[in-house]
Amino acid sequence: MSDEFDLSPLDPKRDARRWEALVQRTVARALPPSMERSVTFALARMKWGVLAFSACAALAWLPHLLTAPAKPAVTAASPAVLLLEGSDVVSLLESSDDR
Amino acid sequence: MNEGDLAPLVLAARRGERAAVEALVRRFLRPAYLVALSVVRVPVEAEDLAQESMAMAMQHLETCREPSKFAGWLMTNVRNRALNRVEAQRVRQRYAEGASADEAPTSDADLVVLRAHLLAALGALSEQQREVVLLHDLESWTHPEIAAATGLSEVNSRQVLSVARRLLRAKLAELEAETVS
Repeated sequence: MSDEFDLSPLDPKRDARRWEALVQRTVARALPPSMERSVTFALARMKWGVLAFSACAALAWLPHLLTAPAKPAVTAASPAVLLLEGSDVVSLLESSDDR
Repeated sequence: MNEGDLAPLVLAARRGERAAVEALVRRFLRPAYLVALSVVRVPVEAEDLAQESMAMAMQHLETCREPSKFAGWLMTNVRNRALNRVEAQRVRQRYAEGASADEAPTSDADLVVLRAHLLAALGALSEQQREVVLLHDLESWTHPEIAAATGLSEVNSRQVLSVARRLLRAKLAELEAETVS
């Protein structure tokens, strides 16, 4: 003979309709509204995208931020040099010093 | 109760999957009710506490550090919430006013009497004895499951159950003798 006590009069599931209503109310309270949930979920996903984009942008700009700006080089392409090369002004100036 | 299939269910509920939340509610709402009943001893209050505890637990699943031990974590929450309610003295007031008036009416007078006797007999037990006997004899939990939910050892769970049943029988016999006389 089982020693088990018959506590079935205390079983809340005896009133099946009432119990099911309690289950549904509990589930509804446990879940946030679906609209809020989808917005929250979308924002959570966007957060990681924004973080990743910021990290890539920072990596791209890092070399520029770390190196000192270089002085502009005087190249053969500068207008002043081209003019001087194309004229005898330099030789004229040099010859005038000898007089 | 299989702890192995519990962790994936809890993790799915954490992600907000409705099916997982509903599965956990269906599986654990009655045990939560029984633990609450063992503290407050008023069925309507126990329903309210079970619903509140279950809903709060689902919303804060991230605080359940070991999903496989969800049952113990939930029952601790239920017990603490019920104890807080008792301390606030709301249960004693409603009990005095006749909380049974809030329950669904039943035409079965014998059932009403038996239920009242069982609740009164449970009052003769300690809170721990009530919890163990309700979880074992009504919810059919095994002693390992009860041990995980209550913090008792399996051996203690068996001992507590044995004592609880003996006390229940004695108290019920007393109440039935009073009814007859």
